[in-house]
Amino acid sequence: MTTNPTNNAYGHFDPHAAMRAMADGDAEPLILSWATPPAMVGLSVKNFLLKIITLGIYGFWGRTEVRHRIWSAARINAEPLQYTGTGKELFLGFLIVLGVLLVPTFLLSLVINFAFGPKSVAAGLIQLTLYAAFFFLVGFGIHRAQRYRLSRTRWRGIRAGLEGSSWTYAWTYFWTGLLMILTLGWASPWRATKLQGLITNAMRFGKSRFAFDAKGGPLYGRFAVLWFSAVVISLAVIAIAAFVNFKVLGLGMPNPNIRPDMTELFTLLAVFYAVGLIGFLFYSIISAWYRAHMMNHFARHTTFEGARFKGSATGRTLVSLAVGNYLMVLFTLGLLVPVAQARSARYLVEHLQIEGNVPLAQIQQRAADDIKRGEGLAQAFDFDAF
Amino acid sequence: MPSDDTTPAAAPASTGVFHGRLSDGASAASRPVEIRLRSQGLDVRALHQDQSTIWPWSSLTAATPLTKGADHALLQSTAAPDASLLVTGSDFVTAISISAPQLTAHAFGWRATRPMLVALAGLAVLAGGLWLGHISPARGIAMVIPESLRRQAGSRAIDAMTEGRATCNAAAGREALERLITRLSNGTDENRRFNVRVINWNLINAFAAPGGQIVLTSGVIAASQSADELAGILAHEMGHAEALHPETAIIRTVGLYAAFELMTGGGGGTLSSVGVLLSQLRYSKAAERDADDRATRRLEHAKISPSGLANFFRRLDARERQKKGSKHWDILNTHPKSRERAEAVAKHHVADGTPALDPADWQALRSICIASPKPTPKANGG
Repeated sequence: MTTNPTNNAYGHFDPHAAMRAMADGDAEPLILSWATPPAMVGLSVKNFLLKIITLGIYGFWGRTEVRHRIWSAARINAEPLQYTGTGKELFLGFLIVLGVLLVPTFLLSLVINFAFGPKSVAAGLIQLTLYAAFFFLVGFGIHRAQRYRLSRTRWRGIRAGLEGSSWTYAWTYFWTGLLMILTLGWASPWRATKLQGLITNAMRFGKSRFAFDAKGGPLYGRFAVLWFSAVVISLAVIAIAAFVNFKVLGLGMPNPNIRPDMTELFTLLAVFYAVGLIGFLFYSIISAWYRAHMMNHFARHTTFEGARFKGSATGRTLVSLAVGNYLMVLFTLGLLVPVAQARSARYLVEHLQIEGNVPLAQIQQRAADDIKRGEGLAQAFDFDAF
Repeated sequence: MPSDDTTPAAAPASTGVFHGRLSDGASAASRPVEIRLRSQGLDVRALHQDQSTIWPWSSLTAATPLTKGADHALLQSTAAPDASLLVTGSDFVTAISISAPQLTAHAFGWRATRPMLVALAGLAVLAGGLWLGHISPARGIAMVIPESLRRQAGSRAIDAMTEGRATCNAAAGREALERLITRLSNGTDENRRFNVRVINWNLINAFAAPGGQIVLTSGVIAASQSADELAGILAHEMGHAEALHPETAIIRTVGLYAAFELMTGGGGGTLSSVGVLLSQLRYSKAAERDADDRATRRLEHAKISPSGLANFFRRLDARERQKKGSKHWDILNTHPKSRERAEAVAKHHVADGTPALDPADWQALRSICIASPKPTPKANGG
């Protein structure tokens, strides 16, 4: 947006122009910023210990406190977001899923296994049905969790929200997931776009709508590179594994009279692991390069009250975010998960901009969502982001 | 909107006046306000207005619990139901943390943790009560499961544990075994139907599975020096089966396992391990003593001398001393303190006892695996 009045002559953001625009009471620019939340490491340690002492139950309250801090670290025009969810809501949501879903399923499987045997056709059919049902429920859970979080998010006292049916989302998630298998993954960009559209178009801030008009097409260039790279990397790793295997064992049965040279064996194994690691790193980098493109593409096609989002994610920064988080969580056995979550949130806030002005005084409060309990499915299936 | 203060949330003035922004909760606009700390609460006043609202200390809630080093406070109050007030600056945060301590992260954490600690203490008391009162919920559940289901479960469990091993069914041996079962069943609990399977397995063990199903290994038959000894072992397993020990142990283990999985956020995967945990069941000492008592009573009724069982325990004890934790004598691991048990069993005498089986039957039973389809590759000594 070159006509943005808050940009100065050099095209850079001008805070004084922004202030003047805000004072006008008309449409205002929205500036996203991040203020490092205080004492996240201390909070991580406290939550970790309390979770152990209370046999895991404090986890729901601990997670809530982490969200309080992450939400309030995200600022729009220097005013923080507010998270209004409670630990009790998360806990009850989990209990409901436990009671109506997990325990009955568990008991059913147990009875079927004992009555017909674990290798029987009946047990197999039940298992297959359960897998399908759980895959469907993942989609349902994603939508419910988004709805819960948005309904518990406020800025300047105005609620956000998610409309649309969780069933519709779950069904779309399910059948496009089957399509992924049939197309060997080539449905992925199209599917991601479709699912993002279902969420973004149903997102509200106050009574105002977000809109999403992206197509999957522009994602296919980078996706093709990702897909073929994945194939080449897999083939390379398999070929080298086969070569190492052949060198060590020869064809058919190993000959007991020929003792393999241990030095050679270890060298080959080292080569094998090195190739695997390099392959994995290559894949991660290309995948991040694709995901950054996708994030920016989705942002560019998201609008709110005449303003348009803009993403500035890059493959390099996404890789360093992912690697940093991975190592941090790995080496602390999960203790620093809250710190990693804050890093992810920060990345999002710092790589999204909003271009254009929004008439904030005209955005009206929306009615409170009647969703009472939070994210039971998300907790149960562990696909939680924050 | 007044245009002379456009600062989003200004730093406090030295006069005790803080600057903040107030949103009314009806629209996404916000306007600058001045805040003064009063003894009864916060005095919130729009710029250049005479009228102010007092937000009493006790009516305040914080969007985010206040921590040391927090750079802002986002407050709500019942005095202005939909409004929210943002004040930046850590000195404001410090000041109101003292006047309204309920806003601090410390108070928040304690409010969340206290009910949990109370609930945990309650659970501990409940568990203690169950333990002291010898009440077992798992046994209660086991007792209401219909026998047909328990029988099926037992068969599955045995199939899983003995997978790939042959059942020994030589006709003469089988008849001898049936005679022993009948003799041991008579006079005690006539309705109790035991299903005893002999498995071609070198491991010296015998175990009871749900639904009155008992497994004897060819190893334990070979290791028995007399029919009385084997009768004692069989009576012991019958004791376990009759007291529903296998059912109780399975339900308890599955329950604890599932609870653990769910608490740690697992949820799936439990099922696949049920087969594994069946083979790892251990009874408590009390359950073993109970099975021993039932075994001696059963032997007395059948007019079989319990000294056979006592003998077996004595030899176990000798082995225990000689080779701690030997892999072959698996029975050692499940049944601790063989010596005490030998002494307890030996206290019982059966004056008019007769051998559990006549010599021909005993010989037939010892050969029950000989004619079976897959004989053991390694011959069993003893």
